[in-house]
Amino acid sequence: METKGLIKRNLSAADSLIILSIVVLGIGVIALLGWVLNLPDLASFWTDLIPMAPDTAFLLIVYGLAVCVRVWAPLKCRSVWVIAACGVGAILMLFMFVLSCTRVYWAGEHFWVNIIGTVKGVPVGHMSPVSALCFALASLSFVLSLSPSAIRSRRAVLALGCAGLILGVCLIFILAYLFGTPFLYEGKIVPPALNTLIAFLMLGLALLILVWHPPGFVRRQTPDVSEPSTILFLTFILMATGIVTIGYLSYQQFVRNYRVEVERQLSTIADLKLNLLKQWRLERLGDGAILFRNAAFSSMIRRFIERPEDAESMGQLQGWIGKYVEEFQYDQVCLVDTQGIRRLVVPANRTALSSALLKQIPSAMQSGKVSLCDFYRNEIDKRIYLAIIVPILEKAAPAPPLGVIILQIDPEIYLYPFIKYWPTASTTAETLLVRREGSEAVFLNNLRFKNNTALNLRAPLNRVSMPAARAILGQEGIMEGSDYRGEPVVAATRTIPDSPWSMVARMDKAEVYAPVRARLFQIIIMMCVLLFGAGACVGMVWRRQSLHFCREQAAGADALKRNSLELQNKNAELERFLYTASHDLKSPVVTVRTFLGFLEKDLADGDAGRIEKDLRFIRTATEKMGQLLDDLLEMSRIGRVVTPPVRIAFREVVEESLGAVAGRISERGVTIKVEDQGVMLYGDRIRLAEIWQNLVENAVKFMGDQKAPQIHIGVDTHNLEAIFYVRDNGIGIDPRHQAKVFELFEKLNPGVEGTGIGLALVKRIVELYKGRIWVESAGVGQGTCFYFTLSEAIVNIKIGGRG
Amino acid sequence: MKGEPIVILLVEDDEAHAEIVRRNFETSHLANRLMHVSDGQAALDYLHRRNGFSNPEKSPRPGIILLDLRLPKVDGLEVLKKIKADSDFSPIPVVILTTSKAEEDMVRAYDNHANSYLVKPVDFSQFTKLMETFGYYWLAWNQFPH
Repeated sequence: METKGLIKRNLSAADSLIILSIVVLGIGVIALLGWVLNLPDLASFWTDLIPMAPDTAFLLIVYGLAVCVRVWAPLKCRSVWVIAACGVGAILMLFMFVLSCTRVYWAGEHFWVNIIGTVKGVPVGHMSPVSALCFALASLSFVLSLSPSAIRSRRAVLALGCAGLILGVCLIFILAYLFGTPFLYEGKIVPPALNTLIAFLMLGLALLILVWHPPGFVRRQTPDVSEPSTILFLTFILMATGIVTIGYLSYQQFVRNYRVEVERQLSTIADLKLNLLKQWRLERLGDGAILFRNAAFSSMIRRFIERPEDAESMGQLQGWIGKYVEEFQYDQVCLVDTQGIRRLVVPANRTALSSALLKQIPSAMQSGKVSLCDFYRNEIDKRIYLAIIVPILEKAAPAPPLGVIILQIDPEIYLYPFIKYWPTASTTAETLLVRREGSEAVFLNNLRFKNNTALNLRAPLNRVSMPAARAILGQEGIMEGSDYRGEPVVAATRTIPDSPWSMVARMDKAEVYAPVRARLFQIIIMMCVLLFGAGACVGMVWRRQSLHFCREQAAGADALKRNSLELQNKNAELERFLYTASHDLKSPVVTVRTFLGFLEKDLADGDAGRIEKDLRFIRTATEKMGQLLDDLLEMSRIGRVVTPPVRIAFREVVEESLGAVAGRISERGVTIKVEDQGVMLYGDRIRLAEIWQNLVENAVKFMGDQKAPQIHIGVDTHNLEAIFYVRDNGIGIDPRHQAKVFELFEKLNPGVEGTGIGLALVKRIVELYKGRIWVESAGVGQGTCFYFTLSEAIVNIKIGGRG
Repeated sequence: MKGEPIVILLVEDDEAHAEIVRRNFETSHLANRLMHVSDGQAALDYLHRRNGFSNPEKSPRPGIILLDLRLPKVDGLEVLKKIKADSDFSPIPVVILTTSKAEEDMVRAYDNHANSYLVKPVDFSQFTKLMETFGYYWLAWNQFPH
C-alpha cells in the first residue's frame, strides 16, 4: 500500500513536469513559427505588446525539451556533457544580458528572418535582458537540481533560490502587464514579452518541482496527505486572488486620484495663463486706446505732419511717445503717415518696419479702431514682433485719418518669458501658443525641446493626436495625445477669446506618470511579498498538518501495535492455558480408565495387592483432577471477581495468610520471621493474602531435608519502591529452570504434590496490581527468594527503612 | 532375538502412566528391559551417565526411548532436540508417547526428528493393544544395526 501511494505521488510530480515543459515548449514553438511564417501575431500573442524574440523562442524550446528529457531519462542527465552544456548556457546568457543592457543588438538574434520595426520605441526581435537573466538562472537551477544528493543540501537551496528568483521576476512583470502599465516600456531597454514571462513562470515552476521531487529518486515520503493540501491550495489561490485584486484596486484608485490631481493642476495653470494673456492683450489695446481719439494728441500729430520742421511740436510728440517706450517697454513707437512713410521713431535708429506690418496699416486706418497685429517676422532683422496699430483720427469724423501710431512689441521682453514660466517644478512641462494659418497650426513661441520654432514650426490640423491641433479646432479641456516630438503627453487646451490664439499647457506622460510607476512598483513588490508570505504561511500550515497527521498516524499505529501485542500476549497465554489444561486434565482420565481396566482384570484374578494399588492410582488421579479443576476456577476468578478494595496493613495480610497455612508450617517445623516496615496496602484482601499464602506454601513444600527450615517475609522500601520478598533456606532452584517456575501447570519436581498452578496464580495477582515478580536462587540447595512489587496496591512507604 | 536385549528408556513424569507402561510390558515379558526416569533432566543425565546414573550396569544404553512431551525441569521436546543433536544418541529411535493430540506438538516432534508419535489412548484395551504392537514392532520386527 505504501509503495503504491509513493509511486502515485511521484507520477503526479512527473506529470506536472511534463505538462509544464510542454507549455513552455509550445509557447516557444508558436512564437518561432510566427517569425518564420511571417505571422507576427503568433509572436506577440495577438496583442499590441512587444513580441517574443526569435532567439528567446528557440531557447524556450531547448529548455522545455531539457525538462522533458530530465523526466524521461533522469539518469542520462547526470553526464558531464549535460553539466557542461548548462554551464556554457548560463555564461552565454549572462553575456546576452550584458549585451542587451548596453543596447548592443546582434543581427544573428533574428535567425536570418527579416525583422524590422519598433513597438513603443523599442526595437523588435531582440532578447530582453530580463529574459537573458532568467535563462541564466534556469540553467543554474537545472544543473544544481541534477545532483543526486540534492535533498537537504546547499545545492538544493541554491537551485530553489534560482527558481524562486525566476518566479519572483516573472510575477512582478506579469503583474505590471496585468495592471496595464508594463515595466520597461518607453524606456531604452527591451522589455520582456508577456508570453515570454508566462513561459518563464512555467519553467520556474518546473524547476521548483525538479528540486522537490527529482525524477528517478525513490524518496521515502510522508503518507499521502493530499486531502488537506487541496484545501490549503484553494485557500492559497483565494488569498492570492484577494491580494492581487486588492493591489489592483488600490493601484487603480491611486491612478484615478493622481490623474484628477494632475488634471486639476494643469487646468489651474492653463486658466491662470489664459487670464494673464487675456489681460495682457487688453492692456496693450488699452495703451493704444489712450492715443486713439485723443484730440490733443491728434492735433499734435497734425501740427507735426503739416510742419515737420517745427522742432517744438516734434519735441512735444517725441516726449509723449517716448513715455510709452519707457513705461510700457515697447520695442519702438513710430508714426506712419497715410503714404506708409515712417515719420517719427522712438527710440531713434530702430529697424525699419516689416512689410507684414505695413500691409496691415491701410485696413487698420479704414477700420478706425485700435487693432493688434499678431506675431510677424520682420524680414530685415529676422525678429518676431507684435504691434498695436492706432489710427489717428480727428474730431471731424468722416475725415480720413492722419496716419497711424505703431506700438511695436518685442515678445522676448515680456510675453515669451511669461509663456515659458511654469509655476511648479517640472522637467517637461511647457505652454504652447498656436494660431491657425489655413489648414495648419503655427507655433508662436519657442519651445523647450526644439529650437527656433516660433512662426517656423507648423503642423497640419488633421493631426488630431496633437493637442495643439485640437486646441485650434476649438476643443478645450484635458486630453492625452502626442506632441510635436511624437512624445505622449497630457495637455490642457484653451482658446484665448478675441484673439487667434490657442494655448496648450502640456506635460510629458512619462513625467506625469512617474510617481504612478513608482507607486505601481511599490504595490507590486508589496504584493509579491504578501504572495510569498501567504505561500509560506500556507506551506507552514500544510507542513504542520502533515506533521500532525504523521504523528497521529504514528501514535495510532503505536497504540494499535501495543494493543495487538497485548492481545497477542493474552491470546498466547490463553492458548497455552487451554493446551496445558486439556493435557493435564486428560492425563488423569487416561490413568483412571486404564487402571479401571487393570482393576477388572485384577478383580477377576483376585490379586488383592494389585487391586489396592489400582485403587490408589485411581484415587490419586481423581483427586488430582479435582484439585486441578478447583485451581482453574480460582485462576479464572482473578481479575474477574472483584471484592471491594480495603486498606490493610502489610503485617495483617501476612498474618492472615500465615494462618491459612499454619498446619503445614508447624508440620514441617518451619520458623517464620516477618519484618514490617509499616507499609499500608489497598486492594482485594483475599487476593493479596493469597500471594503470601501460595509463596509460603511453596517454600514449605520445597524445604527438602533442611534441618532448620526458615522462611523470612519482609518488604524492602529501597529506592521508594516497595519490594516484597519471601525467602527460604530450602532446596533452591537451578538457575536454568528459574524462568519456568511461574508458568501454568509447570512443576519442577514431579514427586511433589500440587497442580503447578500456585505460582502462576501469584503471578497473575501481582500483575493485577501492576507489579512484577521474579525469583532469585544461587542454585540447588542454596535456598530461594521470591521478590515482587505491588505498585497499585501501595498506599504509603516509610522512607528510610531498611536498605 | 539376538545377543543383548534391547533396553527401553521410559521418560514419564506421571507415576500412574509409567505404571501402565510397565504393566503392559510385564504382560509381554519386556518389563525387565524397561528403565524409567521421571523428568527431562534425568533422561539426559541417564544418557550421559552422570548424577547418579554413572554405573553402566544399572543404567545401560537404551536401544529405544519412549518420551513424554510435558516434562518437569527439561521439556520433552528439549530432550528430543538434545538427543538428535548428539551424534552418539541420534541413531536411537525416539518414540513420543503423550496425551497430546495437538497438531503443533506432532509437527514440532517430527521437525526434531522424532521416529514415531504415539498418543496415549484413553481406553484401557487400546492402551494395552498399543503397547503390545509397540513391543512387536520395535523389539521384534524392527532391525537395529549392531
